[in-house]
Amino acid sequence: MTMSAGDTLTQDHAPVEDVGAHKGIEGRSLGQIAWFRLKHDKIAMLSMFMIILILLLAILAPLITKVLGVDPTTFYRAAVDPDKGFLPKGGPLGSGISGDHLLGVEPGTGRDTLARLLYGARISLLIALSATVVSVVIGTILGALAGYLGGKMDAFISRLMDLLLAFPQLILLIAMTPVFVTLLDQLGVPGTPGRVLYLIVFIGFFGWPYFGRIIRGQVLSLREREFVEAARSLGAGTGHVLFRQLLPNLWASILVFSSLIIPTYIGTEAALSFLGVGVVPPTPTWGNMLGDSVRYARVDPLYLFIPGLALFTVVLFFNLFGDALRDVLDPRGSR
Amino acid sequence: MFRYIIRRLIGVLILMVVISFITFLLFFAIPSNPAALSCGKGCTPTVIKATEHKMGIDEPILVQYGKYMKGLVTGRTFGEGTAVNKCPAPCLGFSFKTDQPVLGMITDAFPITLSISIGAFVLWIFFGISTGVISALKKGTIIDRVTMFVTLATVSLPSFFTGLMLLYFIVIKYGLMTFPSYVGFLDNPYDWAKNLLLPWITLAFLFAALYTRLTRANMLETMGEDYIRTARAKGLSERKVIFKHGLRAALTPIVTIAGLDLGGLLGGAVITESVFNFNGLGRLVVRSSTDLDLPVLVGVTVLAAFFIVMLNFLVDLLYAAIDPRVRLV
Repeated sequence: MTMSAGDTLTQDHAPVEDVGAHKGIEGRSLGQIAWFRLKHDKIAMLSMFMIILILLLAILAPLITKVLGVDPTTFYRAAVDPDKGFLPKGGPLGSGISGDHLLGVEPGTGRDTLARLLYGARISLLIALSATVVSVVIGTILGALAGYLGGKMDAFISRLMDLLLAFPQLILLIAMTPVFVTLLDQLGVPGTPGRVLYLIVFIGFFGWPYFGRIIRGQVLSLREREFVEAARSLGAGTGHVLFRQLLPNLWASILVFSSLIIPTYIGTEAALSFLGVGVVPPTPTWGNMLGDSVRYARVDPLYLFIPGLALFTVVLFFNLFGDALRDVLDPRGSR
Repeated sequence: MFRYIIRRLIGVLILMVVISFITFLLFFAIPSNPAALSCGKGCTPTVIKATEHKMGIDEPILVQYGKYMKGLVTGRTFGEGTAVNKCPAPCLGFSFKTDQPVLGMITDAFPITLSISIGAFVLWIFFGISTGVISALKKGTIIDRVTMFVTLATVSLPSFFTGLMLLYFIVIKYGLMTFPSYVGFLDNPYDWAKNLLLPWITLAFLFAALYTRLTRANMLETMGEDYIRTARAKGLSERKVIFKHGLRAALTPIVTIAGLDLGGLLGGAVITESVFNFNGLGRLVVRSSTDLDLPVLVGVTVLAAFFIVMLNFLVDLLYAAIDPRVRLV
C-alpha cells in the first residue's frame, strides 16, 4: 500500500512541485520524500490528525473543563446516591451520564469522569512523551559513542546494554517505586510530582538499550563512509562528527523508534497506575481510573469502558502512525 | 559444543552476581526506612533500632551483601538468643512483613506464574504463527488485510483492559464461568485448565498479535529468497516448499523472541495475575512493593533476571539446533 503510493509519488510529484522558481530536476531531502509519501497515506494522516487532537484536548483540559463547569477533583455529591452506596444517579448502565456530567461520574465520590479523563490524558502523555525523550537521548548518545569510538568504549557500553536488558523491567519498576518515591520525598519532590518524575526517569532509563543497539549498529556502518572520513581529515573532533555529521543521518531511526515507543510507554504507565504503584489518586490517570473501576464493574460498567477505550484509542493511533512512519522512512523495514 | 556451554554458564554466573549486587544496592543502599514503616504509630527510636538490627539492615551495605550471598550458599541465622531464626541454604532471608522465609513465598507463588505463562505461551505461539503464515501466503488479499488490522488493534489493547473485558462479559454479564481462582495442576488438571483459561487468553491475546505480524514479515522475506525459487524449480510440492524451506527459516528469529518473552513472564505475569487475583510472583512483587518488603523484592527481581538470562542462553543453544548455519565455538 505505502510502497505503491511512494512509487506513484516520485513520478507524479516532481513536475508539480518544481514548477515555478526552480526549473529542472532538483534533489529532495529524505525528509521531503518521506513527507510526500506520508501525505498520501490516508491512515497515517488520520492517525496524525487524531494524535494532534488528543494532544490538544490534553493541553486544553483546564479550559475545556472550565467551559463545561466541571473539575477533576470536586466531589459532586448531588450526582451520587447516598442511599445506594454513593453510586451515580441515573444515566445509562448506572453511569450517571447527564447534561452536567457528559461521561458520568465516578462511583463513590461523584467526581466528573470527563474531567478526570482529560486531566488523566495530561499526566499519561506527559509521562510517555518525556520518558521517550529520556530513552532517545541516552540511547542516541551512548549508542553513537559505542559505534563511533569502538574499542573499550564500545565493549563497555555494549555490556551495559546487555546487563540492563537482563533486568525484568516491569517487576523492577514496580519493586523500586516505594524506595524511590521515599527517596524523592526526602529530596524535596513529594507526592504526585515525585511519582511522575520517577516514572519518567525509570521507564525512560530501562528503554534506552533497545534503541542504543539500533543506533550503534547504524553508526558502525556510517562511520566507514567517506563523509565521515572527509570531516575527520579536515580535523573535526569527535563531538563535531557525532552531532554534525552522524546525527542528521540518524533522524529517521530516531523518529521511527520514538513513534513506536510512545504507545508502549503509555501502556506501561497505565499498567503501573492500574496496579496502584504508579500515579495514585486523587491525581487521575487512565490507569488508576481503570484500576479503580474494577470494584464497580458490576454496577457501573461504563466507568470501566470509558477510560479503557480512551487508552485503546490513543495507543492504536500512535501505533498506526508509527507503523506508517516506519514504512515511509525505513525502506528496508518489514512491510 | 561442551566447551561453549561451560563458557556460557560461567558467563551466566558472573552476570547473575553482578545483577544480584546491583539489585541489592538498589533496594538496600537507598534509605527507605522499612523498619519505621513496619513498626507503625507510637514508634520509638529504640524500637526502630531493634527492628533494623533484627532485619539486619543496620550494618554497612557491603557487609549486608556479603552475608546475603553467604546465606545463599551456606544458609544463615537471623536474630540472637531466644529469637533465633534459622534459614537454611539457599537462604533469601525473611520477609520484613510476615517473617516467613522468602524462598518459601517464592516457591508458593511460582507454580501459579508458571501455569499462566506456559499455557499462554502455547496459545500465542500456535495462533500467532499460524495466522502469520496464512496472512503471508495470502498477502494482499482481504484475509491478510483484516488480519493485519485486527492484530494492530489487538496490540493496542492493554492487557489489563482485555482481562477486565473478559471478566465483565464472560463472568459478570453472561455468567458463562465463575470467577477464576487457581487450582493446582496435580490437584485437578481439569479445574486447573478451566480456571486458567481466561488468564491464558488475556495474556496470549497481546503476544499472539505480535507474533502474527512478526511471522508474516519473516515469512514474506524468506519466501522471496532464491533457495525458495530453487526448491520450487526442482519440483517440490508447494506444501514442502512452504513448511520445510520457508517456515523453518522464517521461524528462527522467532525462537529468540519467544525465549525472551517467556523468560520475561516467568518472573511474574504481573498484570494478568493482578486482574484475576492469582497470587503468582507478579502479585507478590506488587504487594511487597507497597509494604517495602525488601528481601522479597530482591529475591523475586533476581529470580526474574535469572529466568531472562537462562532463557537467553537456552535460546542460543536451540538456535544452533535449528539453524545449520550457526556453529557454536
